[in-house]
Order: sequence, then C-alpha cells, then structure tokens
Amino acid sequence: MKFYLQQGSGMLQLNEEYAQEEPDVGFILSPRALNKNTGIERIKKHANELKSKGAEVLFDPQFYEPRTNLSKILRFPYFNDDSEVYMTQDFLGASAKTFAEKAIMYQEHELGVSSYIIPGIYTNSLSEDWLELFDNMLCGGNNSGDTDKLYFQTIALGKDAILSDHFDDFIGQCVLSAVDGYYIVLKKPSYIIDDPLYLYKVLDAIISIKLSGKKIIMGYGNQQDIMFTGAGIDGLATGNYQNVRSFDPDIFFEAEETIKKKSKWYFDENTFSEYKLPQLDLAFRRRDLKDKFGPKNSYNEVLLNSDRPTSVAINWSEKLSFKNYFSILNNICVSQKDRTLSEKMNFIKELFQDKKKNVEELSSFGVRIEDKGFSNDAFEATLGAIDSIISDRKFDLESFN
Amino acid sequence: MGVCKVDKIIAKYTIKNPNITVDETMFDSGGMKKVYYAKDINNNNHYVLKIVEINDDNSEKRTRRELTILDSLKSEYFPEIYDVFDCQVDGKNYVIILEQRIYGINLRSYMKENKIPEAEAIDFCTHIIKALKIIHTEGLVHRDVKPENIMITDTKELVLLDFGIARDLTDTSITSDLSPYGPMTIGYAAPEQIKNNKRLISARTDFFSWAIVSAELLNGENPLKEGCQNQSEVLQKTLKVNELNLDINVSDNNIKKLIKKNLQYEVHKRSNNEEEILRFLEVEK
Repeated sequence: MKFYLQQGSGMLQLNEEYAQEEPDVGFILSPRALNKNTGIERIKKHANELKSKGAEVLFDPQFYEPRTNLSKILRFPYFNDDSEVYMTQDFLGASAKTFAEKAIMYQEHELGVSSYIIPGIYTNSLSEDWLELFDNMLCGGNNSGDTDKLYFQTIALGKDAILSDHFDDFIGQCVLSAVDGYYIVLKKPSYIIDDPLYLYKVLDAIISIKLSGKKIIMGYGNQQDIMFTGAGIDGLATGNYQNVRSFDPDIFFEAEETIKKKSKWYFDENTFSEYKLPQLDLAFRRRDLKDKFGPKNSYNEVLLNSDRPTSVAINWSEKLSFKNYFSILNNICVSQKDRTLSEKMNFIKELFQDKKKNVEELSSFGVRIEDKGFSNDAFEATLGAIDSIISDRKFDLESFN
Repeated sequence: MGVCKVDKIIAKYTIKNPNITVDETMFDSGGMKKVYYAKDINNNNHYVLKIVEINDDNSEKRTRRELTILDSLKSEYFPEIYDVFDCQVDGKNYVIILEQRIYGINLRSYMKENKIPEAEAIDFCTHIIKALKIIHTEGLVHRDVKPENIMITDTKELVLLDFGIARDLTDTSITSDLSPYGPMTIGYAAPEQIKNNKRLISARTDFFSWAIVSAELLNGENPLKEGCQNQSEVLQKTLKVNELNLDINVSDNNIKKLIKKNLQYEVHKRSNNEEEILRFLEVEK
C-alpha cells in the first residue's frame, strides 16, 4: 500500500520537499498542474528531481476530456500534432490505439516513469461506444512500453455510471482484462459522500478487481477514500487543493484558470474533518475540548500547541496544512500494508467508528463540522457500506488475500 | 440425412479405411450430427464415428474449431480424435470424425441410477474443475458443461465431452453480435451467455455451469430448473439467480459458500481461477 501525491497547481516545491521528508511516497505528475507559461520540459526536470531522491514517479496523461480546450494539456506530444481537439467519432479504433501508445511512449522516453498509466476518457454512461474506446485504449497502450513495468488502465467514471445496471458487467470486464491494474478516478457526487449504495458499489468493485490479482491506485482521493484501503487498494493519491482531492472533469474545460485565495484550514485526524481557525479558537477555549483535536505531529503542532489558533495563523502556512493532511493519510496507508484483506476492512471499520464518535462528542459541545467535514449522514453512509460489504463478501474477505 | 445417404457416407470412409467397420445402428444424434460405434478389425480398437453435416459456414467453423480444440487437449479428461475425413455425398458436405470410445454412462444417467454420496459428488466436482483447468489454460471456454456432456467411465473416471460450442478466447467469435442469445443449454448457461455478452465469456462462465452441476450433484436437483414449467421460466430464473434462496446439501460450509459464490449473476464475484476452487475441494478430500 503506497501513498501518492497527486500533482496539483503549485506543488512542484512541495513535492520535492515531501520526497525528501517521506522517501516512500510516490508522485503522480500531470499536465494540468503545470503553469501555462512553463514549458513542458519542466515536468521532465521535475520527474528527474523526484527520481533522484528515490521517489516513484507516475504520469497521468489526463485525457479525460478529449475536447479539452486547455492548451497546457494539448501541447503534450501525445496529443494531435496540430493541436486539434479530438472529436469522439475520430477516436474509435486505430486513433485511440495510436494515442494510447503515444501516451505510453511519452511516459517511457521523456519521464522514465516506474509504471505506466494508460489514458482513459471520462464517462458517466457505460455506453457501447465508450466500452469500445476503453478496449482500444488498452489494446494500444498495454505492453507498448517496457514490458517489465506495470500498466495501469485509467477508469474515470461518474456517479450515474457507478449506480447503473451496467456497472457490474463493466467490472466483470475489468477483472477479465489482461492489464496489470487500474488507476481509478471518480467524479464523486459530493466531496464527502453520504450515499451508502454508491460507496458500497465502489468497495464491491475494488474487492473483485483485487481478488482477480490486479492492482489499484485510487486517484484524486480524500480522507473518505481511506475506506477503500479496506478493500485492498495498492495506492491512494491526494493533493493540495480540493480539485486534486476530488475528481472533476469540468476542470479540463476552463477557459482561464485562476487560483482562488484559500482560507486557512486545519485537517483533524481525530474527526477526519477540516476546521477553519476561528472555529478552533472557539473550541480551544476549553482545555478538555482542545485535547480532543489531534493527535499532534511535526506539521500541526504549531496550531495544536496554541490556545488561540488564529494568533499563530501566520505560522500555519498552506504548506504545513497540506503536509499535515498528507502525513495523516500516508500513515494510515502505510499501516495497512501488512494486513490481510479481512484485517484491513475491520481496521477501516473501527477507524471510521472512532472518527464518528469523536465528531459526535465535539458536536455535543457545540463544535460544528464545516463543509469539508464529515457529517453524521456521511459517517452512516461510510459505515453502512462497510458493514454491508463485510456481510455480503465475508467469504471473499476471509478466504482470499 | 437419410439411411441410404448415411450408408453412402460410411462407405466413402470405409473404402478409404478398410480396416474400420461401422455398426450402422446409430446410438446417438443431435443437431446435424449422427454417432455410430466403429471398430478397427486389425487391432480390435473400439471407436465412435461421428458424421457431421456441414450446411453453412458457421457449422463448418464450429466443427473445425471443435476438432482443433480437441486436438490441443491431450488428457484423460477428454476423448482422443484419431481421424478426420471430409467427403461430399449428393452435393452435400460432411465431416467424419473417428474418436475414442468411452465406456460408461453420462452423468445424467449416472445420477438417475445411483444415489451419489457426498464424497463421490465432491470428487466429481473436483474432476470437472481439473478438466476445466486444462481447457482454460489453452485459452478456451467450454460453454456447455452439463451432466449430459460428462461421461463417467466404467472405472469411475470422468471425461468431458462436446466442444461444439466451445469458445477460443484468442480467436474471433462465431456467434453473431446481433443474436439475442449466445449458444447455450438453458438451465446450465451463465447469465452472460443468455445475454450474449461476449466481453464476459470466460472461465468464469464455465464456473457458473460447474456450480449448477455441483448443486445438482449434491442436492439431486438443478436449482435453476426446480419449480419451472418451461425453458422461458428457467431463463428468467437464471437472470435472477441472485434472488435464489439456495441451500446446498454439503457438510463443508466452505464448499457450500464456494458453490454459491460461483452461482452469482455478477461475473466479477465468481472465482478467479481453478486453484481457488480446488483449494477448498481438495481440503475436503
């Protein structure tokens, strides 16, 4: 089980620092994260810097929206040479195969990645055309580079695709496929999901894919996606801002991208929720409440040692906030490493039960969770999905690993 | 294929192979196929002689594919092919196949004639999976595992027959994409065969049929046919197989779960390979 940083805007320096501090962390680089005024050779340089620190580097070709108008993606060499956007009808058959092959070649020859990500188009409907495209991408990309490296095929789906009747057939196709693994990115119904059926279906799919011997990296993850470590995923990737902690294909259509000014947030491990500093001020007025936040680590201690977090806001940099988030998720991922599938699922169940209890306790003292927090409905959905999957797939969880 | 025509076809074969005599009393037939007993008078070896009428491209492709498949499967679990002969009689094409004669009865008859103890049933289940393992290793899917296609020899060995609708996963499909159903036997075919969902035809398709045969061996009844008045009801029941409240009469709880796991509608929830299945069956042994 490996933790990856999903490259978002402004993460180059953060990546390099984190590679130094946490040598086991991997990195998923991507075209969209580059500033449009920075040449694409910067990503090659960055990959080399990370690799020189011993880090594993992957590259997400970000072909989710073939008609993207983001020039910073279109300039990558695996796109059409004349930078024309792809129309769906042009993309069935040979074009898809060639494109996937070129995307793999770029990863091999320019970036020297440790494993390949075969590009995939986002869909919210598992139509026959999309399935054919999916097959063609695999056909073109799989084993087109170094055959000693692993090939992960991108699965990029929306909520309707996951809840559709065709989803189980699609997962059936995935378990039968000859690829080494899948890089799964999901457009979630909300940042923290409170739909238990949706979560159940994703867990169910992951268990089946894992039991078929394939590997899974979940991309664009957040704290709720930690639940999928219980189903045996091999990697979880997350990034600095929400747009790399939750996948949204619309970001590949923005005409002009602007980085919004972000509020200062603190991600709390005990409650899996994020709080703005004034909310912490209110809670920290009482010693018994203050002690419920945490636990402390080298990144968050500046806040947790203070009696009034807003007074140390200047020292609570975005970078510390991100690293605090990463280290919490990373530690959980690492702790799952040597557990059996059944142990992983039970661990996750207990973990979310604990978080729920902590949120309830804080809530009873008037500490409110905010919009990046875990609501009671979200906890119920998460735990409901976990309980149902343990009940339905007990034999699989206990008998196979 | 009239009697006179059969005589002519057999004559064409025996003229070329004078050491082979054919008992012209047909002992089995099905589709465009007629089956006779034959003997080599030089060495007293016994065979079955199959005459297959080729009436279109598809029947020829299926026959050739079956022969290629059997040729690639060399094991005690499958009959051996000794000779293949093409001929034309009265403007029609035929393929004559000289095949190993298996002495015994099929599993359907065996189940009718015997009350099968649990240990023997599990032994049969184990051997079917071992036979399937050989088939799947060659990239093939049998697609027609059912008691009628399983022979129990006089020495209680198991032989898997009839590769007429087997699918070579490395080759293009013969079945039209437009067919509402894939080739199958209702009551044993997996949901993906019924839906003709070619993307999902795999070893797991055979595992579904194996699970039905296993349930039938242990319970004495096919759970998909039980209570159904006609084929249409069986089809509907197969497509709603997850709603079956099925109990399997077997003392080992893991085997019970294993059979139920492979009786699921969703391909992705069935066993991944034969080793996973054998792990539980062989513990029992």
